[in-house]
Amino acid sequence: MSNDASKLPADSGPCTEGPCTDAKNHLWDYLDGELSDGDCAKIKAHIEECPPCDEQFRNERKIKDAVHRACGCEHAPQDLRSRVISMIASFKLEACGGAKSEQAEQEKNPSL
Amino acid sequence: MLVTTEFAPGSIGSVSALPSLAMDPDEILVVDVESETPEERLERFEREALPLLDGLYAAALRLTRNPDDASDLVQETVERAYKAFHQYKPGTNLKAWMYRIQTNNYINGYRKKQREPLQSSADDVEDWQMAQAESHTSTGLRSAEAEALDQLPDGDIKEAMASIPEDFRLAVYYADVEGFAYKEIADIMGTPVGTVMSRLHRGRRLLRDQLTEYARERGFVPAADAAEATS
Repeated sequence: MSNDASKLPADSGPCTEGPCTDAKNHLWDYLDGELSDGDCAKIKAHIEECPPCDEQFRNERKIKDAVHRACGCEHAPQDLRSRVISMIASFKLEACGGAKSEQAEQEKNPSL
Repeated sequence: MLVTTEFAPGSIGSVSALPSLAMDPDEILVVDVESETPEERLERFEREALPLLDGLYAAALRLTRNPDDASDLVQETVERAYKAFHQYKPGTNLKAWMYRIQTNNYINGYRKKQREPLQSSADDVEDWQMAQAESHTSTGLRSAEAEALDQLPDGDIKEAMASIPEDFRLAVYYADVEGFAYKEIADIMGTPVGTVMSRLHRGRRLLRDQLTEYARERGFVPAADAAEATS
């Protein structure tokens, strides 16, 4: 896996090697909460002491935040909710009907 | 599992460290599926699945990009989920399970009869489009552009999301809105984790390009920054 990192295009800007590159390579793993506690702490410690990386992390996070804000507040329309509720009600009728007719069968013919 | 991505996680962030689909053991309700009556199962389904309706609808909107199709897709998903509910293992992630049903349902049948014209898929993204997105953003999002994102109306962001290929859009939606782990997204979309990471990576680049464009059009990015960003 570590060999693959060398194939990444070199980032321009003030941070080009060492912990900055490491942090940038894992920027999205970090923002998406995919890192282990130890790795997360390493990146966190780095961005706390590296203003350019801190800035980049904050900037990229805005994309995640924007998507969350815009696409995370939609509610199922009332019509859909009603359709689903009546569908479940019909399942209930089926389930109860099935159980009742089974019970009735049993009562009528206890040997079954 | 061999994971090949454009941005290999290197020595950290190994796949094995990802959380599994299982929920916190404290949250697991003991359900004896074997002895459960149909009514009890239905009640459990209603109690656990109905609260997911909003999220399923929002995800369906990202898939179909049309409110009527989204509603139909969700209703079908609930029906299928109910019929398969005896196969669902209590204590595992019901949300991911239902999203998987919805995604499969959409891909395997729904897409064919939907009202919207056929969407572009990840394969349709031309290399030059990706190259353009890469060249615009190889230095990352500039602060002025990032600030501008806060001001963009939700409609612009939804439009930008709708403009990127479906596979990318869904991966971004599941990660950023639903907060699913890569492993869960892989499970929902039926792809390896590496593919999810690649889709997220490419989707975000295209999204970033589109959003920056909208911000410029609205005059939220100062001219100097815009010129610098496109140079």
